[in-house]
Amino acid sequence: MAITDPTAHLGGPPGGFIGAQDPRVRPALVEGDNNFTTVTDMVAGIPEQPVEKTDKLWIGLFLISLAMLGLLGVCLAYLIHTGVGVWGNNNPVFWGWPIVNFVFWVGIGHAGTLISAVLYLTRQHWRTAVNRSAEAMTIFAVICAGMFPGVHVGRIWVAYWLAPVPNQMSMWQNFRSPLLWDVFAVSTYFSVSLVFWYMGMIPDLATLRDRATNKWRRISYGALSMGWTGSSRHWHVYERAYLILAALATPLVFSVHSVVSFDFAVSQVPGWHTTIFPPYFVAGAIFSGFAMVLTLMIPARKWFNLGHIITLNHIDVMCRILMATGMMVGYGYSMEFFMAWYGGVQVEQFAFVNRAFGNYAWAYWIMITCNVLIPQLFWSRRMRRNLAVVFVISITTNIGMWFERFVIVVTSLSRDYLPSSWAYFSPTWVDVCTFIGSFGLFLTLFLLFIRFLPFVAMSEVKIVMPAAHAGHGGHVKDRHDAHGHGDHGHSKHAEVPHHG
Amino acid sequence: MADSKSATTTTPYGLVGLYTNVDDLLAAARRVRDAGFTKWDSHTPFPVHGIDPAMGIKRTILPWITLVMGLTGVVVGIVGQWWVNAHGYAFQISGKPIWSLPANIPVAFEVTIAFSAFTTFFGMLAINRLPRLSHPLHRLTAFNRVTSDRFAVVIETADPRFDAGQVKRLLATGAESVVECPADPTHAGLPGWFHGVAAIATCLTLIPLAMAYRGRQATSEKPRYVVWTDMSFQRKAKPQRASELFQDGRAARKPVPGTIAVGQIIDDQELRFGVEADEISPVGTEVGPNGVPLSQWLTGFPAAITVDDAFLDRGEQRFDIYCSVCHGVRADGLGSVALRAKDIRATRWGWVDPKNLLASVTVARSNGELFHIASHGISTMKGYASQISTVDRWAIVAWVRALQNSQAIDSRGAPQAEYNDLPPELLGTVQGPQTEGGR
Amino acid sequence: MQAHVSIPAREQVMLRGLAKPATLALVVGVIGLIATVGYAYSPMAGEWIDSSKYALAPFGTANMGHSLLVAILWALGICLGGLFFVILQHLTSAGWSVVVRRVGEGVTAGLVPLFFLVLGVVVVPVLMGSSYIYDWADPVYAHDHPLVEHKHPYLNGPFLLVRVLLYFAIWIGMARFFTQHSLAQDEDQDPRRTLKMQGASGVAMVVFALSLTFASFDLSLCLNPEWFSTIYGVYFFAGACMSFYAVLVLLSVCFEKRGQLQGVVTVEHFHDIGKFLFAFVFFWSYVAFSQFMIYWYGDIPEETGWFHYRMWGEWSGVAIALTAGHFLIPMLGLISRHVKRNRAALSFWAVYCLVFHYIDVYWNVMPELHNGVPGQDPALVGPPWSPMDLTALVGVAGVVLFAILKRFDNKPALAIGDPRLGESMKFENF
Repeated sequence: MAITDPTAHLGGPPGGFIGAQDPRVRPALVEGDNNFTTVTDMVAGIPEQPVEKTDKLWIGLFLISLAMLGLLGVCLAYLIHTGVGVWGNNNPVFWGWPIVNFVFWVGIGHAGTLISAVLYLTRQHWRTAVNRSAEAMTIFAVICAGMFPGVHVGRIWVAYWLAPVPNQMSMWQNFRSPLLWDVFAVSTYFSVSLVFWYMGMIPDLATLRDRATNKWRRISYGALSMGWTGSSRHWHVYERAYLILAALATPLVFSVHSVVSFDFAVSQVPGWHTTIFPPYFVAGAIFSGFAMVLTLMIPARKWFNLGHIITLNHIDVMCRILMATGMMVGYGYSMEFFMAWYGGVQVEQFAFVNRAFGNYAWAYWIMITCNVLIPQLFWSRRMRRNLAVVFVISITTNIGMWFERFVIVVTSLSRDYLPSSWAYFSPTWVDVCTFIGSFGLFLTLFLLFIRFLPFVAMSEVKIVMPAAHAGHGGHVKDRHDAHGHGDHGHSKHAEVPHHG
Repeated sequence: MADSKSATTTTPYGLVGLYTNVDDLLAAARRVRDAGFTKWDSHTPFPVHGIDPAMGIKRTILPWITLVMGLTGVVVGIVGQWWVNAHGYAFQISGKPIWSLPANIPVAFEVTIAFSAFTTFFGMLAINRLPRLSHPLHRLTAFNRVTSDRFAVVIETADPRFDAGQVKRLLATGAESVVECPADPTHAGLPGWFHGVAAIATCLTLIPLAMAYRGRQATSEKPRYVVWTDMSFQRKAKPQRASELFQDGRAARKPVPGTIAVGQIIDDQELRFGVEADEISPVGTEVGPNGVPLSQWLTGFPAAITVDDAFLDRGEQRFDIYCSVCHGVRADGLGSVALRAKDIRATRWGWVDPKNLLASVTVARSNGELFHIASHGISTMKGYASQISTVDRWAIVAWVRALQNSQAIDSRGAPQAEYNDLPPELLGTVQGPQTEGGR
Repeated sequence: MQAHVSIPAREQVMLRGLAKPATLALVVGVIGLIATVGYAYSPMAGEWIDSSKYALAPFGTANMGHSLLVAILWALGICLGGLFFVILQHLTSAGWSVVVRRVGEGVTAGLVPLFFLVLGVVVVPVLMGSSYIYDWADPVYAHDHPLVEHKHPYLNGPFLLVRVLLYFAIWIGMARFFTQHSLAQDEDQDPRRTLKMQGASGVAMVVFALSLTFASFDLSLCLNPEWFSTIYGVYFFAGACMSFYAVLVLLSVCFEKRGQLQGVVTVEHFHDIGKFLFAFVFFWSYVAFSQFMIYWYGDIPEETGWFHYRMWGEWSGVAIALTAGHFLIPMLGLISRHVKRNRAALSFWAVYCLVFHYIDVYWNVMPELHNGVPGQDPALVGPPWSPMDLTALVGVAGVVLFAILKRFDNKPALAIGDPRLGESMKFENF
């Protein structure tokens, strides 16, 4: 392609004049001297490591997560055997840590779907480096989330009563209850995300199948990849399906956390009953989800040498999205606060003053510090590209978001309409260990994912490399050909294909 | 090229051209398309932009299928919820409407998304005829790189225009290599035992359904299976049942000797029951002239009660508290509850109007009977024994009698002086001894 | 599409001859405004009620005030949507939208006449103590209603004036910043201007969000001074953006037909704008439903009262029309890519969305006309359609269109100096 460069008269090659942020040029999505072959080697090489040669670091982390998972098992067994009384839930704080943890995990899951679906629809090509692992994060986060409502019902052996199946009493669920909407929303979310994640992996599993050297790998990856041959006719239907799923997953993402917010908003509890909850919860979910993605990506890209695929530009953009959604959460806080005053509802006003200055004020100020103040550091480009800072802030963000759910649930319940009903809530060791254990479940699944499944969407990353497009760059370098001929499109600042 | 006469060689699947870059692939695809082949395909590690027009691939109908199933999902979601909550087992919650659409939107939305998404995924697999685990191309080693960093164009020998030489020439331009893909010698069909196992498994899955169906049709004398016993079988004493805790084996016990249960004092039958002292029931043993047993309800007041002004005042107070809401302060059956019930025509739903206690029917009842009614209720009226003490109930009876007497007085028979003493507002309403009209 | 693409010559994209249509728009606009006021004071405007307690003007003028407010909010939404669009494109370093960003910049020009309209219709009467639109402006009303009295530190004339001045200073200031840099970039093609605009867009977006939110409270939410909703700012924003994308479609089609955007704006751009239009139809529905559902379910009278006026009795038809016509129908209509890639179909849906946005604003504002008037329940009275609704709309739209066309006149129809212009002209959709 040739376009007349309107800035030609300003002199200098693209990138040389203004520096790395030259708006005339889009930064390369895959850095370094990479081609399809090297990208495949980089990504497929991770699961292809023989089991007996597994990295010591992975084993160490896996043992820790297994220990935490064991802790979860112990806590759940104790809970089911003895009853919900082992938690700190009391009257009137009937919803304590379990619900806070549920909302926390479900929120984290939303970033994966956003990256996969919404960023796909808005043609953000940088998503291809992180979408596979983010989707996996979603699946595992939703598993952790779904466990909490599942066990908090008390008699989990009749938890199937939540499902609309015929029964001898001819009784059905109350579809008008937000708790049942949750059942449908979260289960739909889990299954659609699973489908989306799996469908995205089919071509990459085929890659692993075709590169497999041992029979068991060939059979497993072969079965999972369904016999994918990379046929263009298949790709056509596949791409259409991917687009439709992305278009469906977008409203799904919005609806799921909105339904979760309805659990609170449709009640009359002061501090809960406010119309901004649905979009504010969704923004908060994406906020915490991106923080978790960053927490996972920053070590992963280092330990697996994926720095050329998950570049600093990727981290930078994710930090900006983090900040944007954090601002939306801050907007939600200010609206609630303003309307509490403006509306003149005294219980509402009390609820907000109590949050800031009552006996849970410590939780409130942790929340404000972590969600509103600390992310402001990301206005600075240097901060966004400083991996240590980003890693720390991603963790404080998740701490802040956990506290946000804690503040919402516990302060409003512990001090609602009747002062005679007020009580203070404290978690028990079971609450705390179950929560820690849920991280064990998440990490175990995630580590298994890293070990055996393709961490990066290879086929999608290849699409956004210059060589994927006709007329760009020409030849693909063969792995034996150190310096190929005519590699026009492989300089550090190659322009990305124009998908806008 | 196939040697069709030989029994050992089989026709190869097709010829495969392998390319190292997208441009060569697209050029080859266009050549093959223009040459008019129909049984051919290209294989790439990622969807190549521009391959659809280069190959002449038509748009898939998948979006339409998704749309149809999505709309189905909307209908299923809404109708399903209506049926289960408003029709099949109408779920009444706090008197709110049985069917209210806004509360059903979230679930309908999720069901729609779920239907659409699963249709899309399984539809994609169905249209692509996946999974297909056995394919000749998978046995070609050179083809393995197609999922990593090579591009391929494959023309099947089954195509009517297939001619090995021509195809080779067509593919060769720009190709890294052109390779023949042999036919897959292994049997591509499902193994024989698979059908048998599948049939048996299908039959096995029908068994629980059949059992459930039978369970709904048949009757049984045996108690049902209880999977989760929870609190269904409790170790407690039930009335009229055997109990292993006691020597005589009975769960129902007599009161401990020397004790009286609450409310069971029968020290004064007249006072506690309103029945003549020597009778054991209101329906006595004496029989009247027409053969009907004589009533033994107490006609007066029990000996333990002194009916004086203070007693009547107490009765008035208690009556106003407990009885006047239904029966009215004048005991005429026009209490506020009764009026409200008339307003909303509560008799539609089984409401019985509170009686006018001044009517002759109630006047004719004996005191003991009135006491019994106040204690234990009658028709849809509840008994007040648990709320009003025994003496107070007699006071209420006394007050009712007073009201009955007062409302039955014919004012025309009163002395003129008494008539003149009436409060001014009543003078016009009551007929005096010497006045006409009034009531 | 690998075709050779060349940046068009400046002269080819220059918008000329817009002065005449601009003047025509101004004339029509002024006539419309005069007709509105004239009608209000004429005997046709309905009976004059005893205004000693609740209004300082005859009822006809209250109706006029509300009609004008509906028109102002409708137009303000479009212009603010344009400002949002411009800031957003800079914030996301968007490439696809460069060819149509100038349209967004031009639409923000409408903020200037809107400033004067808001001053004249809203602020000045409140400062004079007239409650012909806003009940809270009447001190007697405020005294009688403790909930309104409580809001006095916020809802009072002087503070309202300060806020309105601040909003428009911010909006017009930001619009000028982005437009001037963009126009200057046409001349000098300096890529550093893009970086400057990108850098400013973050703070601009935050300030925009807050100013739009509080403006929606001041102009629309406080019409019912006893009601409140934390999502109201988002609700207003959703409708505003939807209507801007509709205007973007129409203006882009218009400039393409005139020739200035011929060959520059392609079906791919319309597809993208159509996607945004669809997305905001959906987003509006989501926000409106959230607001409704939460208050409906909680069933607290001080929150449901607002909906009571708008859902029962004579207004129920409008509520149903909004559910079906602002959500279901355009969602199904815009879902297909074939519709989004067809200029005629997309233009139809754009006009449709503008009409329904007007109905939405009308539904928000008009029931308050009868709320609080003794003996009048909005649910019983129903929508008070009057010719003033039309003349006010024509009036406001006319003067706003005048400002927009004046802005476009003798300027390039696209940001011809933008460094990402080439990228914008070449992209392809799914």
